[in-house]
Amino acid sequence: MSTTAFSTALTEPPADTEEPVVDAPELAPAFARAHIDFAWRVARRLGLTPADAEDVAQHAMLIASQKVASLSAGSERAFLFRTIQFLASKVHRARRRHREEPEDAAGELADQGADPEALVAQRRARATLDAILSELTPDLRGAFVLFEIEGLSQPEIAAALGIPTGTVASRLRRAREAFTRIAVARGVLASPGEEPK
Amino acid sequence: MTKLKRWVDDSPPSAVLDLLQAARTEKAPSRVVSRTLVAFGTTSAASGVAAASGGAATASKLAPSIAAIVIKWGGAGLLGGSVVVGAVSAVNHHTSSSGVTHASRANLSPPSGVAGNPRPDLPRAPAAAAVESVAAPSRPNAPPVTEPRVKPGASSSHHDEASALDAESSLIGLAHARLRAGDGASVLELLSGYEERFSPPRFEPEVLYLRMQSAVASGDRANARRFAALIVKRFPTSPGVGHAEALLRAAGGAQGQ
Repeated sequence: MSTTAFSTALTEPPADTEEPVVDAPELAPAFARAHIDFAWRVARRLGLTPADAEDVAQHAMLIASQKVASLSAGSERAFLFRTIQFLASKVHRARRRHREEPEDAAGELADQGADPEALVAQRRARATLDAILSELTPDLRGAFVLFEIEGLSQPEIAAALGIPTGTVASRLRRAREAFTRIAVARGVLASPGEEPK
Repeated sequence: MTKLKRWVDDSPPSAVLDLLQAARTEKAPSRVVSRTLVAFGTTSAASGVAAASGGAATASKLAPSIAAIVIKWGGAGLLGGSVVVGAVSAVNHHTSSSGVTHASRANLSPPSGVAGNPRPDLPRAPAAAAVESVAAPSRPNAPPVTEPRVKPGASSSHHDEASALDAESSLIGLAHARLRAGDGASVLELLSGYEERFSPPRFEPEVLYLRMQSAVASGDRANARRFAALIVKRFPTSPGVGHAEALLRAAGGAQGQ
């Protein structure tokens, strides 16, 4: 290998890559604090492992930071969601097999000062939720996560997903029905007419 | 069209409510917050405080050493893209004896028309003042760069953690500065023992990337390939993986010739 090729492989960006510019560096830290939890949750709810979610959340925050001044107020989460969804799809494609990684329970305990039993219950609940979400179609999953977990309004979701508001409402109804059906099949919910477990 | 209520407000089964509430209350681990805030140029993350309201005050308390590591992403994406990791480390010690300004090729200046119109809905972080728009120094005149040290005298664990993060992020910034100043050969030595010195290490992917760059700068192709392979294997979604894969492809192509 020539020295030139050797060095170029590391230093030359692709020809079609624009030089990213942080458009308002003084705003970026506040932006990060305000939205990192959202980015993390969305990455996890889209099925990423903790390690991948960490990378994707940070990557998305950095991409968003390049546009923080030009994003209109209220559109940040929609932008972040689209970015995370895109990055997550790449990670999912890259992973030939899903590898479960242990979560940082010690870190969580230290973070939250949480009662260990409550923490275990929460982690189990999130794992169950993620298992159910993994059976939803990507369209329904995205709408469900943004509305039911992240609390975005239907117009915000419409903007994030690039679909009409009516379609959002339709997806949300179908997502809830599918969620219930999957939860029943998994024994999380009782079948209609059955006593709840 | 009837307005759809959120499920949690619509009397869901208790099991569903538990699942949704567990997800709604989840926060990013402090490690993630720290890593992101450091990348954005503030070490306030060291306190573990992620709330916007508390961040500014915390940042000012932890201000003695502010390292700004700006990771520039290029290419088509997380996995396939080419990546340039630039660093701006504005190390601003209380004691002025070891003040170092690290240069970066990162353009942190707001584009024209943006600087005068900041978003009023986002508070300004004090640490941002330390993120300067600086030009890369010409290599012959590169300033001497010295290794950051953990400040002595920090008694509480809070300050210990803050100092450790300061030192760790400053070390990364210093390594970038040396690479940029044309002193890449010393970076491997600078970073030797990093994993033992900082436990748990917060910037392992970045350190591997720097080692790879350093090996390239030194013409040490075998080590460059080794570090590239480690990046691809251990941190397949990290920012530097695009360059690592490009290097390995280039190396493979050269061997095939």
